[in-house]
Order: sequence, then C-alpha cells, then structure tokens
Amino acid sequence: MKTVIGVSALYHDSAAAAVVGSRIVAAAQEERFSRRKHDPRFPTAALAYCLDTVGGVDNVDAIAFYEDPALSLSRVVENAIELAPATEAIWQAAARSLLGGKIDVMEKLAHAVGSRAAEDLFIVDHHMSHLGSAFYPSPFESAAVIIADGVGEWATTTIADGSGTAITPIEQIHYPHSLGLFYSAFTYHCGLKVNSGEYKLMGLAPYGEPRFVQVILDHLIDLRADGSFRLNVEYFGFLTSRVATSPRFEEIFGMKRREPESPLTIPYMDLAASAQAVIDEAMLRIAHRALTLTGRRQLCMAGGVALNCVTNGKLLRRLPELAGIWIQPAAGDAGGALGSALHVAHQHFGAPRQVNVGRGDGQEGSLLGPVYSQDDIERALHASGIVWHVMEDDESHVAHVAQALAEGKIVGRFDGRMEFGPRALGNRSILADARRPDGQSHINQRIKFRESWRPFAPVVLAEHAAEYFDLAHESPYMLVVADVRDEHRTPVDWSDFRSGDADMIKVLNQRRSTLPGITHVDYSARVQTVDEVRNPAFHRLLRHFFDITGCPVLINTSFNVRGEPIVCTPEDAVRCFLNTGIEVLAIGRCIAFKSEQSADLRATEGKVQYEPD
Amino acid sequence: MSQTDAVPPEFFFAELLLPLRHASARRNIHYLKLDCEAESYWSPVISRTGGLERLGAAECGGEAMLQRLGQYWVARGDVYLPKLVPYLMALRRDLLQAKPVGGEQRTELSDFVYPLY
Repeated sequence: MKTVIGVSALYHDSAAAAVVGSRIVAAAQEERFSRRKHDPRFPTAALAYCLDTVGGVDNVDAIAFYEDPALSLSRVVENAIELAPATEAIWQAAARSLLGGKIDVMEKLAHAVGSRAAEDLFIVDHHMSHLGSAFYPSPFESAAVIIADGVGEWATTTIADGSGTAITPIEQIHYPHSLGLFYSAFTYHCGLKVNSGEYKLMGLAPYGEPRFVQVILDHLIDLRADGSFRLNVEYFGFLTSRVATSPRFEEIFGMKRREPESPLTIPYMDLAASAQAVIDEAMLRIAHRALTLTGRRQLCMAGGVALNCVTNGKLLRRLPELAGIWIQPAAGDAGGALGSALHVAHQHFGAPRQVNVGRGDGQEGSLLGPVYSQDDIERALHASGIVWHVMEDDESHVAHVAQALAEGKIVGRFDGRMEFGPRALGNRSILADARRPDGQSHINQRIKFRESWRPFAPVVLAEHAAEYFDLAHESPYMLVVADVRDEHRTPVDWSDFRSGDADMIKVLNQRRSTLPGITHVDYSARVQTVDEVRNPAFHRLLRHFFDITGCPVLINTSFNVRGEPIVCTPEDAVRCFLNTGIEVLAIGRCIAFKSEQSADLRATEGKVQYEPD
Repeated sequence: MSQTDAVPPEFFFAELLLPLRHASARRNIHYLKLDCEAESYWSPVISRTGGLERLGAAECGGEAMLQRLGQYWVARGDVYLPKLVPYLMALRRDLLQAKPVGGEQRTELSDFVYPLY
C-alpha cells in the first residue's frame, strides 16, 4: 500500500493529511498547533504530525499539493491586465505574495519531506482536491458532486460526476463570479471578518427579514434557472482592491459598512437574511442541475460554501429527487489537503475505493488529529498545578461526567483524537445541558466570551434525533440545520423587535423550546447526530446523560474561547479550563472541578485575552 | 519586451502589464468575462494539467513553474502572455533578493480581505 501526504497552504487554513492505501490515517490544521486561527503559513507542525503518524518520511511514497500555483498566478496576472490601471496597487501586493513565495511552494514541499518522496510530487487542481475530499470518503458508490467556494485557480463552482474511483468534472463557473466571494462581501459589509465571520452572518440571518433579495437579484447577481450566475462586478471591490465591496454596494443598500464590534441593527440583520436567501436559492438550483446532469440521486459537497449548514438543510428538505447527501467536514481549504492526497492515491497509485466500510463513511468520524495518552494527560495536569482526580475506569469516568452535566455544570471534554475540520464533534468540546434556560447567554458570555446572540449547536443521540428535530437523515458532522419539532416549541414574542429596540438578547432570553440552549430564534438548530460507530465513547456519555435525565440532547460547542483555535493538547485544555467559566474538565480518564481549585488559579478566570473573530 | 533585466519591480506594471491591457483592448481580447450576458454561465472546465500533474524534485522550483505557465499560455494560443514569462522570472529573482533572510513573508492582508493572492 502506498502512502500519500497531502498539503494545503498559503491562503487560509493550512493543513496536512496522510492517506495509506485508500484509508485516511491523519489530518490536521496548522492553526491547532500554531495557535493562530486560520493560519495560512506552510503547515510545518501539521506535516510533522502526519509524517509521525505514518512512521516517518521514509514511509512516504508521494506528496500532493492542493492547488496549481502556476494557474493561480495566471488568474492574478490576467486579472491585473484586464482591469489595469485600477489593479496597480493589488498587483504590487500580489507579485510579492505569489512570485516572492507561493510559486516556490512545490520546492518548499520537496525540501520539507526530502528523501524519495520528493521524487513524486503532485499538483492537484484546487477544485479537484475539493472534489476528492467530497466524494472519495463519502458512503456513496456514485454521486453528483458540487464544489462552491471563493476561488481556486479559476473555478469558483464545479459540478462533477463521481463513480467508483473516477471523478469527472463536467462544468464550472469561473472567477470573478463566485458565491463564496459574494457571501464574503456581505460578511465584510456587516463588519465581520472575511473568511471566518461568514459563519456569524449565517447565525445572524434568522434575526432579520430578507427584504433585500430582489435588490440583490436585480443588481448584484444574475442568477439563472440552471443555477449558473454572474456577479455584477461594479458592486464588488475584490478585483481591483483589497476590500470585498465597492462604494456602489453601500449606495444600493443605503447603509455604510458596519463598524466591527459596533451594535448590530435591523438593516444588517436584514442584509444577512437576504444574502442567506440568495445563497439558498443559488445552491438549490445548482444542486438540481447537478443531479439532473449526472442522473444521480446522491449528492456530495465541499468548498467553503458547503459549510453553510442552513443551505444544506434546505437542500435536503426542498429537493425531492435528493436521496442522500454527504458533505466533507473540512469543507474549506483545509480539506483540500485530504482531497489531494486521496486523488493521488486513487488516480496515480490505483488504490481501490472501499465504500461504507467500517465507520459509516471513509472519514473515520473526522477524528483524524493527534491523540494524547493518559500519561501525557497526567503529566500536563501535574505541571499545571491544578487539583484533579483519576477515575478507575472509563465507565466510572462517564458516570461522573454525565452526572455533572445533569446537575447543570458546564463541562470541557478532551478525549481521543482531535477533530479535522472547523467543528468540534465531541472530542474537543464544551458541553452543557441543552434544557438550561440561560445556557446560550451564559456560555457565550462566561465561557466563550463572544456575542450573546450567537446560537449553539445540539448533539443528539442518533437514535433519538427524530423525536426532537425535523431531520430524516443523519448529521454526524454538524453540517445540516433542521427545525426543532413543533411539539417542543414555545412561542417567541417579537413584538418590540423590529418596531423599536432590536434587542436580540430580549428575544434570546425567551424560552423558545424545551431545549432553549440550542434552539435558535427561528426554531432552527445545527444538529450533530452521534452514533455508536463513529464515536463510541462520546455516544456512551450521551447515553448515560439520557439515562439520568431522559434527555438525549446536549449543547456542543468547540473547546476554545473567541478568536482562539480549538484546543489541541492537554495543556491547551487546562489553560482554557482555568481561563473561562468551564466548571468541569473531563480529560482522558481524569476529572478536575473548578470548585476545587485554589483561589490563585481561579483568579485567572475571565482574564483571558481574546481577539475579535 | 526584449531586455528582461531592464524592468525594475516597481515599473513592471506600468511598462509590461498596462501596455498589454491596451494591446488586448485594441484586439478585443478579454481575460475576464465580466459583462457578457448569457442564458447560461456554465463553462467548460479550466485546467492546466487535466487535474493532476506529477513533478520530480528537480522540476518543482519557481522558475520551472513559470516555464510551465508559459507553456500553458502558448498552448492556449495566447500571443501576448508568453512574452511575460522571462520578465516574471526576473521579477521573481528581484523579489526573492529583496526578501528578508530567513523570514517567512508575513501576510499583509487585513482580516477583512479575502486572501485572493
């Protein structure tokens, strides 16, 4: 069996992945090691982790890079020429970035791995890397595949057919016409960080009304019935400047760009709702087109737009011809590392593809990052000086953690392999009882130090998901939004919201459902279903909580604070535990209670320095 | 465009790219499809390599990548862009010489800019 290492780097979310035969054995983002969110630098630490996992560089047969640096340069040069002289300033910056570094990335890779692997270097097109990440690990023998993101070399949207080990791209939309860049423009205008705040924009949308949809369709994007589209570039700034929008963008909506961190007002909520509605419609048409062109009933997706779980939920509900969907958990650029490695494994080395073997799909539950031994964990706990306990066995540990959750405690859970992708799926998670009425604002303010209005996701025992959510499919990677079922809802009073105070907290503080901690203001929830196959230990914890409380649902949010990457090491976990209002740290077979810590250690709580995200 | 060492980096745009803009405009050549309204905007797949390209360690440097780009432009039938290649190579050399020794280039973009390049 051949071993292939894949790397994505130098734009955002650098990552490395390792594939042996056709099996994914390791994948991690550089940010988790470097502690710099969305780290775009060459993934030295993630690469070292992957090489270590496969037994060293001498065991590596080939290295794959997730993008064609020459073709990306071609796009930048052609953009500079086409819109000259307005592109002079960005050309200077682009030349420094591309010619002063990125064009040499393959050589850098060769040096990083040395030895015989450097004789088998591969360039995989950006969207082909995404296609590989979306289709190869999916549980489908054949499927239509959609990639939608900001831009790779030229492609911004690709429809492909996947069958066996073959992936055949069929058609594309090209730069500058991009749903990713379109959505980022709204993110920017709403005062949120591009390439990370898109997620917040999606969460903001339910507070607004989509009253700008027609303006957007009339002026900003020509959306065709076949799902193809063209942006009116007069409204966007990214072709000639360093910002996402042009002055005309402000004019058409009659509002200036929101100052970051300033209060959110109704117009920005409406803008978020409108952008979401347009993305929903575009993706519905593209998905319909993909299924029609390929004749498939299963759909796979990747690319940053595929992280829009509101849209993903709508695809499932509104496309009657769609029988199943699988979305790469690391749908953004990090997943390109994985897809490029898989593509080389299947296309160059001829590795057979094993569909639906082992864990429901080929993604290994996306638990592909580093694992730390009980000894590592105990060493870290000793060094930290905190008071902690080690449980006799796993069963006793689970019982204590479930009991703490049932008593309303906020628990930081650190166990097993770290997740690959932006979502914490239980192994680097902060957990709480979803029935807790103040759960959302409490965790936002005291644990995550982030905006109170942001929703939390539920994790639910897969076997009980349909009792609480309108969800006919599994959602193991938290990539689908579904509604809380009618019988669990309670009415929300919006009467003063639009007419005057726009007080999001007042809306949020209303109960909304029997699971107020995870029910968004429009009764939606970004559901993670947990099953015994993909993550048995986490399933056991939920099962135990259910046995105690009769509730199979917990709040699951990533184990970090605002602006910080999700914790990677035991040391990161202890630091986050001490700096925040987390009450219980469940780490390996150990437990630490905040109430037992010394006054000195407890004094660090809330003093965390965070960066706006 | 005959002496590749005659264009300092700061003049690359004005002396090479801007004239190309004028030349292509005169011949109605467009590198981006911006205004062409159509019934459908789906297009054939763009790829330099067919999706996958194998390289050896000796052929993966920046100059080799630029040569590949030139070959791609030639294969595409463009008469102007291939002439840029030696100048891009010279510009690359200039930029690498100007780079601080040992230091990885810091991302200069703000958090509100999509990293397009």
